[in-house]
This record gives sequence, structure tokens and C-alpha cells, in this order.
Amino acid sequence: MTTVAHALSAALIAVTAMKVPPSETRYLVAALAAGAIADADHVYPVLRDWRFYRQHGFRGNLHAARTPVHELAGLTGAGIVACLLWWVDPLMAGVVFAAFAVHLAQDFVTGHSLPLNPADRTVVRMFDLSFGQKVAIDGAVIAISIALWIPYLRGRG
Amino acid sequence: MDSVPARPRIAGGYRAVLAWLEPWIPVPDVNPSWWSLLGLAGSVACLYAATPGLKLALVFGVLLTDWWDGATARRHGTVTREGYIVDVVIDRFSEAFIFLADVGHPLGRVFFALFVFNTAATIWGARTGKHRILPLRAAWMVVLAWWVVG
Repeated sequence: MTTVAHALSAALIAVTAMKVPPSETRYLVAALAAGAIADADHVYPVLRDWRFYRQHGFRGNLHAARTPVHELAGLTGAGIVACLLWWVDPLMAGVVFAAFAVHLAQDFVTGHSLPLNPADRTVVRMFDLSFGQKVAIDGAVIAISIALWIPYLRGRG
Repeated sequence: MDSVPARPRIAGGYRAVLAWLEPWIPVPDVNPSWWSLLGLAGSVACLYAATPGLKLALVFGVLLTDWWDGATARRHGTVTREGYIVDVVIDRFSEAFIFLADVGHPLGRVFFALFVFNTAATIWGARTGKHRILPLRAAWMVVLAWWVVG
């Protein structure tokens, strides 16, 4: 899924599940950031292996351009951060963890993963989705998320 | 290392009951990941469930789907290490969402912290070949049942 689809959908699930009032801008911004931030780990591997990606393209290869942050190790780290953040701001902890976890879950369900990286580098995929199916899922997630964000944000008054 | 790590002896009791029931339960020949996806959706639904009773029903359903994906793989001969990995990873995501739903309660926070331990144990288990994971969702059902009764 694209970063935009992740950010919109994961943040929406986070703020609605944690019952964040739509007027609380900083929680909304944190949810959007937490829903997108995991994709930052593509940057370094893509730059490092730029020749490969220029030759073969990103399609079907991007799972190799991610670090353990995108896998179960990242979920563990986010859980530890949330446990620490609960002492400071419990709502922020819940929002940030929920958005981050939803992003990782979405990637695990829709793409190739190395979920036990770095302990085990077995590549798994839950479903054998074609590129077209992934594009359709991405478009549907963005459209549904926007349709649900609008009534949520109307509550800002 | 065995391709699918053995379960600990503590899980033997209820797994024996499920194994006894398995031949009598219909298990369609589908990709077991569909059951995993259904369980994940049920776990996310816990975030929106308002009452302990509804959460109890959802967690029960999630555990059923967790059993069903394995049963599907066993019945139709598709048990693989990849399937085992999908199973344990979906279980960790499921725990994350189920316990996040009640993280405002001290017990919810304890279970959330244990879920973090379970994710680390899952990664460690991949290295050692030993499946040493706490059955947190089954224990959480006892807590939810207690809240329903109380």
C-alpha cells in the first residue's frame, strides 16, 4: 500500500478507536505521522541499492527495501515505546501505537514480508495479490478513508 | 531446526480436545490466510466494542479462527513453515489490538506489556526453534468473563 493510504486509514482507525475528539489537532497529526513513519525505513535501502531498483523497478521488489522496523521487531519496539509513553500521555501512547500497528498489519496482509527479520529471513505472503489487485485495494482504502474522515472532522464544529 | 516449532506441553490439554473434535468439523479447502484475516478483523473490532460481553464474544471468535486456519492447513495438507509464521505473526497483531482496547484498565496494561514480551518471544523462537508463547488471549477471556459476571 502507498504511504498516503497507510496514513489516512491507520490514523483514522487510531483516532476513532482511541476516541480522540476531532478538535485535538496534535493527536490527529501524531496519528497521521505514526501511520506513515514506518515507510521511512524504505529510504536507506532504496538509496543503497539504487542501481538494482533503477534496473528492476520497485514493483514486487520493495519488500527487500525495508528494515526490521517494518516487521514484528518494529511492533515490539512500538509496544515498548507505548509502555513508556503511557507514563507521560496515555492517549498519545494509544494513538501512536494503534496507527503504527495498523500500518504494519496492512503491509503484512497485502504484501511480501520478512516478519521475523532479523532472527529469520523467511519471506511470507498471506495472499498472492497481483499488482492490479494491490492498486485496487490501495484506491479503495484511500477513497473509504476520505469518506470516513469527512464526517469525523465535521465534529470539529 | 524443525520447519514448524513444537508447541509447549502446557498447550497439550486443550489442543488434544481440539484435535479430537477436528474430524467432525467442516473445514473448507481455502487459503488458511482467510481465517487469519477474519481473526485480525475481529481483533480490530475489539477496539470499537463497548461492552466486556461483546469483547468476550469477539475474542472467542478470534480464537476460533486461529484454530480454524491451522485445521484447514492440516486437513488439506498445506502445513508449511510460512503458514506457521503467518499464524504467529497474526496472533501478535491480534493481541496488540485486543489488549489496546482495554489499555485504560491496569489489567489491560499488564496484558499489553505481556503482549510485547510475546512478540519478542516469537522472534526469539524463530532463532531457537522453540515455541514459547504465552496464551494471553485465552487468559484475557477469563478476565472479560469476570467483568461480564461482575
